[in-house]
Parts: sequence; C-alpha cells; structure tokens
Amino acid sequence: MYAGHIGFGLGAYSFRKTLPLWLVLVAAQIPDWLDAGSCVADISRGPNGMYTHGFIPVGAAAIVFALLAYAITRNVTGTMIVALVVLSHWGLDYFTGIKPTWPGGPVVGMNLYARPLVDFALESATILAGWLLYRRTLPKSVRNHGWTYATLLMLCTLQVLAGAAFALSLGGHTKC
Amino acid sequence: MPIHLVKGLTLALALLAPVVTTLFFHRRSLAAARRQGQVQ
Repeated sequence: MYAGHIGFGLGAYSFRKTLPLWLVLVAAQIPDWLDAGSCVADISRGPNGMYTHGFIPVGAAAIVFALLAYAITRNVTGTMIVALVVLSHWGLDYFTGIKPTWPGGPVVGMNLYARPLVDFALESATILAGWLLYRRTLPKSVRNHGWTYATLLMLCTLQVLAGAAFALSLGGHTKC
Repeated sequence: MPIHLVKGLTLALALLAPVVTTLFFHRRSLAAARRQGQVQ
C-alpha cells in the first residue's frame, strides 16, 4: 500500500488531534522508510523484506514511535494510537502485497498489486475514509475549503501515479 | 550514481511527497480558518 497509509494516518489523527500530524503520517509509513534507508545504504532488506516488514521490525518500530509520541505529548491514548498506526502498516500491506511474518514463518498476503484496479479501489477507499475522519477535525468553516479537498485529490493522484509506475514495471518491481 | 542509491532516493521522494503535501495543505486549511476567525 502507498497513499492508503497516509489515509489511515489521517483517520487515526482524527482521534487525537493533539498529536503532531507529521508524527502520525511518518509512523504510518515507517517500514517503507526503512526500505528506503536500506536501499540507500545498500543493506539487505532480508528475505521478502523480513528486516523491514516482518513482525519483529514493525513491532520494534511501534515501540520506538510510541516512546517518541509519549516524549512529545505525554499522552497515553495518543501514544497507543501512534503505536497502532505503525502496526497498521503490516495489516494494510497484507491486502496489497505479500509480506513476511517472523523468521522462518510464512509469507502471506492477498497481493492486490497484481490487480491494479482492485488495489486502487482499496487504496482510494482507505484514503477517503481517513480523509473524512480528518476533515471533521478541521474548523467547520474550512471543511469544504479548497485546501481541504486538495489533500484528498493529491493523495488519490499520487496513488494513480504510483499505481501506473508499478504497473509499468511489468512485474519487475524491486525496491532496491 | 549506483542503482541502489537511485532506487532508494526515488522511494524516499515517493514517501516524502504525500507527507509534505498533506502537511502543507493542512497548514493552509488552518491558516484559512484563522483568517475567517475560527482559530483552532
């Protein structure tokens, strides 16, 4: 999943808008940031991305982000929300990709990337649901403002572009 | 430039794009609310 993670983060933010939005959004993406870091550093991501998307690294990232959230907000509910957002990454990726579990464990997932239209429908639904929740956190006077709708439009546009780029890779997609 | 660096930086850019633009639009929305007197 790509922009759907941001949609999920926006939805989670709506439950505790005292959380820094940037923290929630980055938390939603963090395993993919680990991928990017691994690529740049030319470090192995492990079999099927085990070192970045397995239960152990995702769980560790949830703890790190929970500690960070607590250090910033001193709020237990907000801390739990951020931890759940990190964990949600694996759950959402289960639908769109094929993901590792634990060392020696199975590789699971519905791999909707192979069905781009279904993938787009799921990503868009996640974005829309999260955006609708997020929109409720804004003052009423700007809920229908252009900037508010621009967020929804931008996320869907980026998803289309990412989906097209993925489809054009013709199955030869490798992150590194 | 090594291919792993190109791919890694491309992925980082792809990840950064929705975060930065969402934060930008968020701030613009709140700024619009402030202009209208609805300060959060």
